[in-house]
Amino acid sequence: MWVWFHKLGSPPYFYRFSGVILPYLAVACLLSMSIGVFWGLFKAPPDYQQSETVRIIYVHVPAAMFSMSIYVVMAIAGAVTLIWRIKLAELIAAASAPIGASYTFIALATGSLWGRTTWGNTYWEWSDPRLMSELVLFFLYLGYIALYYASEDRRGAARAAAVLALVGLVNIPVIHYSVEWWTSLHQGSTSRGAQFAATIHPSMRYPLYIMMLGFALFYAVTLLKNTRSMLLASERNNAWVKEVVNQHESA
Amino acid sequence: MSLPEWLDFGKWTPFILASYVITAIVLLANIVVSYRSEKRQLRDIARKLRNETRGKP
Repeated sequence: MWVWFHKLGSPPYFYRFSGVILPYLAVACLLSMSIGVFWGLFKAPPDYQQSETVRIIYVHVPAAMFSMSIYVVMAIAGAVTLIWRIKLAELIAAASAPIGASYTFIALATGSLWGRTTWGNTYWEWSDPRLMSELVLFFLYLGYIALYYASEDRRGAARAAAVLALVGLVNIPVIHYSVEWWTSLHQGSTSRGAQFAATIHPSMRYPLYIMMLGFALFYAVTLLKNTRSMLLASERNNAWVKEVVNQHESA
Repeated sequence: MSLPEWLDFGKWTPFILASYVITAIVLLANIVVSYRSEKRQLRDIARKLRNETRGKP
């Protein structure tokens, strides 16, 4: 296993391996997203309290969940960048940032719309800890992207951005526990193990699981695609890239 | 113009549809940018290699 991980850190091996698994991941992502949207939007029942508005859960919860998970991936890749200076870790962190920012934007936008339907006549509440900590996460992603692209020296920029990612990691538990630590309009956390299974009926839980899988696969596909193009740009003078380009040209 | 029945979620229709449309637009933009970015890199490097073999800088 470790040998395989070690091999995966090699840019040519990563490029070839990702090229093999990408089509399967893309098909699985398309299937799970299509099934999840159809089930969530048209087959799942309305909630007894929130009626039809509960359908927003199928895009809001996976986006919010992965907005935090992607940041953790980015911080771990940042730590690897700072400690072992592995180029692929730098690229994985940088490739994750726009996807994380997009998921956070989706979570904020759909949350705002959902909030308007359940909290009364407001789209946004500035004093709400969950909303504000998620907004801080969005700015952390934007800050990371700005810092990474601010310098021509990509490797130096990656190390500076890695420090930002690690410092910003403190915001993740704040987002997660904000509904328990402070008074919030946002509902309490139900997304943990047995509690999750007990509080959401299977007719709503299964489409949610499928959408979570779809969002995870979407992250995997876009992460691999972004990393591949960044790898080509950073290794453009190496022999393996010329070989890949020649193969692509002759295909 | 009214929506088809299967897209009608009562008075909450605009909020539900807006959530899904925003999500779809953001995800589509991400995937399009990712795929085009790799293609552009391959094209740029191929052009550079062709210029090198012709002796152009």
